[in-house]
Amino acid sequence: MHLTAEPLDLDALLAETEDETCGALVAFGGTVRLANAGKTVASMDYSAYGPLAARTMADIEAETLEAFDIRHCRMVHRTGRLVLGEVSVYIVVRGVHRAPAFAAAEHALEELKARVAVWKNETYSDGSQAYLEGTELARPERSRN
Amino acid sequence: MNDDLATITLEANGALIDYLGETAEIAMGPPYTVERVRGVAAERWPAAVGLISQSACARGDTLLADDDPVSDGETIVLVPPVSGG
Repeated sequence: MHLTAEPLDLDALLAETEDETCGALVAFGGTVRLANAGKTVASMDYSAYGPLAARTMADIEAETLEAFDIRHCRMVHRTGRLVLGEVSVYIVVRGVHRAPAFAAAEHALEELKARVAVWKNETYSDGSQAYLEGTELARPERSRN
Repeated sequence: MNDDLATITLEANGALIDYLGETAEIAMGPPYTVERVRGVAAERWPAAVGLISQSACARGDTLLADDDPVSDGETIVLVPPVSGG
């Protein structure tokens, strides 16, 4: 599972990736913050195109496992309306050593932000709303199947 | 009804929903390609031309290339710039 409208469960990700061979555990959580671009944020609506987002997240997990000396990489993203402080995304990486685990977690997050079909629509304290500017997806020269 | 016209259902995401609604139909003549879908959509919703030109297209869980063919009656998903995290 990569996308859910339910509150994210870090304990479940930790249990899923539990591994006694690993000496490093890196967990990143992204949360809804109070201010953005000089405006006071009241809440954030996350929407996703599920089929593509889930496939891309699975691809990123596999690519990260391939690129770094780690044993586990899992990511999950929340959808729906979140209030300040709620967790929108978790990345969990486990590896034998800390250096590749830190690097892999950062890599996975940056790839998620650049490639996963999720959109943020902020609601501000004055009642106005705005979709955040995003990153244009690279279009394949041939469709990937 | 022109027999050469293909009807494509567009599924919008993100800020594109403000312009297209969640789904919309277009009718298009040849060439029946993803690039043509984007072009017809830009003509129909000129206020969203910038966002449409920046959008990738998908079928199911697959991103499409600009010259991929599209078929009458199918759904193409418009994927504007992403902002997750």
